[in-house]
Amino acid sequence: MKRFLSILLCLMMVLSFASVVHADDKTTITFYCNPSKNGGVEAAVAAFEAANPNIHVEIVEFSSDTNQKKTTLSSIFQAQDDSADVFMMDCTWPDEFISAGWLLPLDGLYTEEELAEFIPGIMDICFDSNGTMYAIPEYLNAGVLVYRKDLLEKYNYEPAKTWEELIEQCKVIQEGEAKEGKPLSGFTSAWLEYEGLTCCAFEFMWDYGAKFAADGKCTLDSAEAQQGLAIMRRMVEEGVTDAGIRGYKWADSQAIFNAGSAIYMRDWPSAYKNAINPEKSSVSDSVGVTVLPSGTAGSFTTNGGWYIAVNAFTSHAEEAKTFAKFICGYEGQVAYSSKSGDLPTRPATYNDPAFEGTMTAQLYDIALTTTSRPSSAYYSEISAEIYTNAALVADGTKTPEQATADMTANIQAILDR
Amino acid sequence: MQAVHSKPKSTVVKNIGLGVFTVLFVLMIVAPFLWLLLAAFKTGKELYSMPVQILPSGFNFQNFADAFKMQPLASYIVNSLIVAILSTVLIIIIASLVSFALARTQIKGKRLVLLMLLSISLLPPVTILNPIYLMMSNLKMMNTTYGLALVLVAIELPTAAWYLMSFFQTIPDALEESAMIDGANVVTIFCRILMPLVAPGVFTVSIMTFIAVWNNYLFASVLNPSKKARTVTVALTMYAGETTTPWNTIAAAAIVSCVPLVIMVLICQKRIVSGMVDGAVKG
Amino acid sequence: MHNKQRLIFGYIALIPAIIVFCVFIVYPVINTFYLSFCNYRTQTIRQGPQWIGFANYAQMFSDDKMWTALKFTVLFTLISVVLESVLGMLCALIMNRQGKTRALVCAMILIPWCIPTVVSGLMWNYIFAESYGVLNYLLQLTGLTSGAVRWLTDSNYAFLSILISDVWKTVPYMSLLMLSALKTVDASFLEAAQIDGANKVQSFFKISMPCMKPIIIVAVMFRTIQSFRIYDLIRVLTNGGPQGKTTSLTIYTITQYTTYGNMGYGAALAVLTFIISMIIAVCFQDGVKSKLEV
Repeated sequence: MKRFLSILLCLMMVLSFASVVHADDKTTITFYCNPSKNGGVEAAVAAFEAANPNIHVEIVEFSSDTNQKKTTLSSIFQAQDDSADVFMMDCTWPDEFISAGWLLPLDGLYTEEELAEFIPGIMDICFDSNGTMYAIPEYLNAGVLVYRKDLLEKYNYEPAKTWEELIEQCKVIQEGEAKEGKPLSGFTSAWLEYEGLTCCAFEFMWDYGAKFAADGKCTLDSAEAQQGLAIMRRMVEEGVTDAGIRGYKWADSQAIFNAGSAIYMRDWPSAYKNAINPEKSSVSDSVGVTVLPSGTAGSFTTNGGWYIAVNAFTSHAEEAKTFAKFICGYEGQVAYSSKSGDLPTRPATYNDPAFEGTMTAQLYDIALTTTSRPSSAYYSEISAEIYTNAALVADGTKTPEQATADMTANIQAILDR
Repeated sequence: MQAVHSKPKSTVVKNIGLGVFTVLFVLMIVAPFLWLLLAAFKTGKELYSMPVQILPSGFNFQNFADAFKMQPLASYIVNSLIVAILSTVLIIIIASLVSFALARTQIKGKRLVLLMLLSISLLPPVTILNPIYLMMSNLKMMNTTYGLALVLVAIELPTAAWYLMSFFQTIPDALEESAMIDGANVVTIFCRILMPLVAPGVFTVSIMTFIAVWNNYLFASVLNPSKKARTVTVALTMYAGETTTPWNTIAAAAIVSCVPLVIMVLICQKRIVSGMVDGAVKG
Repeated sequence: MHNKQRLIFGYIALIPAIIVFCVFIVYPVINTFYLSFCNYRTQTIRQGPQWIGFANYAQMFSDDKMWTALKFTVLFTLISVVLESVLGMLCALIMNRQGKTRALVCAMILIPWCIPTVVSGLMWNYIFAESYGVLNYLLQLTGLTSGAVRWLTDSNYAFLSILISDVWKTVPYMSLLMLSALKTVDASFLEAAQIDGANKVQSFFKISMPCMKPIIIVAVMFRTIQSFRIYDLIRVLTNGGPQGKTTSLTIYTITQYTTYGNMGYGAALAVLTFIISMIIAVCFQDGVKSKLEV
C-alpha cells in the first residue's frame, strides 16, 4: 500500500511539473477547430504565425460528432472560461450563441469593401438582427449531385437537370441493368432522421418554390413545400432511392455509391473526392459531378459551411480577432483549403494557382449559389420538426399535406417564443 | 438415488450439450470483434464492397499506419493509462474504507451514506457536467490527467463501493473475532485480515473500474480537449470527418487502443479466477 | 474498548468518500434540482435562471415525446436486464467449470467489454447496415430471410438491434460479477449438499443462490440503473429514430439539454430519471437492508 501511494505521489508531481507552461513573451491563443483534414488547419496556422511572430496559436481539435462539439463549447461558455479564444462554428449555431451572449462582436474588423470580398449568399449568418457582425465564414460546403458517367453514357443520358428527369432516368437504367443481372439503386443520400435529412428536405421544398418564413410566420404549409416532399415520397415509392436510404448518414450513402450500387448521389464535395479516389471507390474512373437537379423554382443547395467566431470571454481579444481575420483571409483560406479540400468562401481564391485543375476550381459555380437554412436561436428544434416530418412522408405514413401542416404548426410555436 | 444407472450417459450428453453451448456462445461473442479485426485490414474499397467481402485481400497494415499518422495515438494511450491507474487506485482505497465501515461496523447513518453514494450514479452525467467544468476550470485543472482522474473517481466511486461492500459482507464474523481476541487492533484487522480475504473482489472491482474509467467519453472529451491530455477513447471519435467515416482506420485505432486492456485482462484473468478459488477455500 | 475503536475507525473511513462526494457531487446535484424549477435556456442565458415553479414538470407530463421515451426505456430496461442477468450467470457457470475451455472462454468473453461503447456502436452500425452490412448478407446467403432486414430503420428491428448490441457489450461484465459471486460460495457446503443427495440444480438454487444474493442484487440493481440511462449506443445506432421510437429518456434529456439548449426542461427530465432510479433502488431494498444488518 505504501509503495503504491509513493508511486502515486511521484506520478502526480511529475505530471504537475510537466504541465507548467514555460514562460516567454509570446501571447498564446487557443483555436478550437474541426479534426484537421490533411493538415489544413496546421498549414493556415503556420502561415499566421509566420506573419505574426508574437502570437502563438494552440490548436485544439473537436471530436467529430457535431453534438459533442456543441457540448464542449457550451461547457466552456457557461463557465465563462477563456480556454477557447477562437473557434469554428457550424452554420446553424450562431443565432443561439449570439442570443446567449457568447460571441465577441467583430465590429470594425472589416470594411464594407472587405466584406464584399466574400460570397454574398452566406453572409447573412454572420450578423445579428441589429447588423452587428459576430462570425466570419471560413469554408463552405455545398450540395452536389454525383453521378455515374458510364451508366448515363450507356443509356444516352445527360446528367439529370430536374428531379422528374432523374426519376425517369433511374427507372430506365435500373430496369435495363436488372435485365442484365446487375440490379442497382437509382439514388442515394443521407435520409436518416437527423440534420442530413433536414438539408435534403429543405432543398426539395426550396426547389419547388417553398419559403420558410415571412414576417415571423412560418410559411411552409404551402403547395410548393408539399410538392417538394411529394417528390421525396415518389422517389421511395417508385423504387428509385436505395432501400436503406432512411438509415443512412453521409458515410453510408457514399459507401453505396462507391461500391457501384447507385446511379446518383446527393452529397457534399468531399464525397466526390472520395468517389474519384481509386483507393476508396470501385467506380473511381466513371464518376461525374454537377449541380443538384431543379424543381419548378430552380436548383437550390444548402449552405453547410463553418464559420469562425471569437469567445466573448477571451482575455486576448485583439490577438484573437487578428487570427480570425487572417484565417478567413485570402492567404489563410488558400493555405487551409488547398490541403483540406473544403471550398473557400472568397470568390477570388478560386483563381489561385494552388487550386488549378483541382475539384475546388470545378465547383466554383455551385459554391456561389448556396442557400442558408433558416436562422433562429431555436434552430435545432426547427430542424427536428423538419426531419421527423420529412421522414414520415418518405415512409408514406403521412401525406405531404399533413406533414407540412404539422411542421408549420409546431415551428410556429417555436418561432413565437 | 434412482439416477444412479443413467448417470454416465446423461453426463456425456450434458457435456456435449455444454460444449456446443460454449462454442456457440464464444462464437457469438467473438464474431463481431472478429469483424472489427478484419475491417482493420481492409482497404476503403473492400470495406463497403457489395456483395460483402468477408476477408481482406491481405495483411494490409496501412490502416494502422494511418491511425498513428492522423493522431498521436501512443501518447493518448499513455494519458489513458495514467488516468485509469490513478483513478482506480484512489477508488479502490476510498471504496475499501467506505465499504468496510458500512458492512462491518455499527456506525450510524449507514443508510444515508449508502443512498448518498448511490445518488451520484442516478443523474444523467450531462446534467452535472457544467458545474464540474466550472470547478475544474477555476482550479486550473483542465487538460490535466490528474484532474480528469479526480473527477472520474467521483463518478465511478459508488459502483465500486457498493460491490466491495457485498464482498465484505460475505466474510464470516468468526475470523475477525478470533483476531480481536488475539489483541489485534482494528486497523491491523482491516489491512492484514479483511483486505486479503476480499482480494478476489478487489481484483474484479479494479478491473471493472479500470475499464469504466478508460472508456469514459463525456468527461474526458469536455475536460481534456487538448492534445497533450487527450485520452484514447476520445481520440477514437476524431478520425471521422463531418461527412466521412474511415471505418477501417477507426477499427485499426480501436484494436490498438484495446491492446493494453486485453493484455491486462488476460494477465489478471488467471489471478481473478485462482485468487477467488483460494479465497473461497480459506473463507 | 475494541468496539469503540472500531466505531471511530468506521467514521474515519467514511471521510474520504464524503469529501469526494461533497466536492464533486453536492453542488451539481442541487444545481440540477434547482434548474428544474426554472426557465433556463441557452438562448436567454444572460437573464439567468428564472423561477417558474412546477411549469417544467407540468410540461413534462403532457409531453407525448417524454411518454414515448419513458415507455421505451422501461421496456428496454426490463428485457435487457433479465436477458443479461441470465446469460451472465450461464457464462459464469461455464467459466467456473474446471476444464480446458475455461481459460479460452474467460479471455474471449472479456473482449467486448474492453471496447469503448462509442466504438462498439460504430461497429454494430457497420454490421447492421441494410445493404452492405454483414448480418443481412449472411442471413440472405443462408436463406433465412429473403430480403434485406431494416435493422435500424424499422422500429421493431431497431429495438432488437439495440438490445443485441447492448447484451453483447454487457454480458461479460455481468458474468465476471456472477463469477466472483460464485467464488464466494463455500465449497464445503456444496459437498455436504451433494452427499445429502441434492442434484446440481437443487444445490445451485438452495445453496449457491442464497450465498451469492448480496452480490447478485447489487449487480442487478446497478445494471438496471445503467440500462435505464442507456445513451451512447442509441446515439450511434439509431439516434433515437425511427420517429423517436427508440428514444431513451437520457437521449431525450440530452437532446433538450444540449441540442435544444433548454436546460431547465432538461434538468426536470434528469430529475425524473433520478427519481425513477431511486425507486428502482428502493425496490432492491432487500439488498440495501441486508447490507445494513451486520
